[in-house]
Amino acid sequence: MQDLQEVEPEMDPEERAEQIEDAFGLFDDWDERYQLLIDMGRKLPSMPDADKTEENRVHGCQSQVWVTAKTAPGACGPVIVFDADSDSAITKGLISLLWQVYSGQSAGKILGFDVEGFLDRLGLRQHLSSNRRNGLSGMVKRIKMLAVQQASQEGGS
Amino acid sequence: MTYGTQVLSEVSGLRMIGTAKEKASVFSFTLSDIHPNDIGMLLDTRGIAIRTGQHCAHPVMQRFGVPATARVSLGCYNTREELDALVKGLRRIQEMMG
Repeated sequence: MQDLQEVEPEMDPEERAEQIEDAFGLFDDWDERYQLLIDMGRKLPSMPDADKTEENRVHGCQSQVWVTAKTAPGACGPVIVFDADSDSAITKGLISLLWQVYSGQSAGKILGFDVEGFLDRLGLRQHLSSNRRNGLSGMVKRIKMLAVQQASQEGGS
Repeated sequence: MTYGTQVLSEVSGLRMIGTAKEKASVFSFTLSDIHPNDIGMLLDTRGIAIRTGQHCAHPVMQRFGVPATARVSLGCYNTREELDALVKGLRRIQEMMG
């Protein structure tokens, strides 16, 4: 199966989110939506096993989740590229949603994106158990924290 | 229980954890390499409620090297049709995980 591609750099998180919402809108039952979510997770670029360390683990998830971030040069200044993985297929799908909106974006765009609104519109926040919701918030928090760190490093250099 | 044991044993990739002859009416199992949380969540969308994880039995599960299981508990009100729905759900989940 083909990996997800880094989307065109000119696309904002909002535009990427809209594309994902459209894809989910094609299905009306949750069986099919979960299938789409699982498929998206499967297409997530693989993360090196060496990065699956305690330090990179996201706490608050029942299943194991790891996230790393690094800065890369982008067309309009530095962007942040994420790597992530999980041992649960559904969690990996949820990570993939975040990856698709966030990876390859500048720190400013990452911090400015209304992720709660996005997850609400997908109906995911209402549909997930409170444990999963906590885990998802944990992932968002980790990504934003990494974005803030990167942004402050840029400012300092 | 007898019927449940029989139909579940026909699901490929299903490993039953705990097979004592006189055991209580629970089926604790793993399914291929699918995360038990995913099994629980996907069965939930089909109206089937089960428990997943370590079931407050961390030491014994560590001892036997099973990180987590899915667990179905039967009551005297559960029917054969419900067990069939469970098996159907598990097969669908295997399909989804490809």
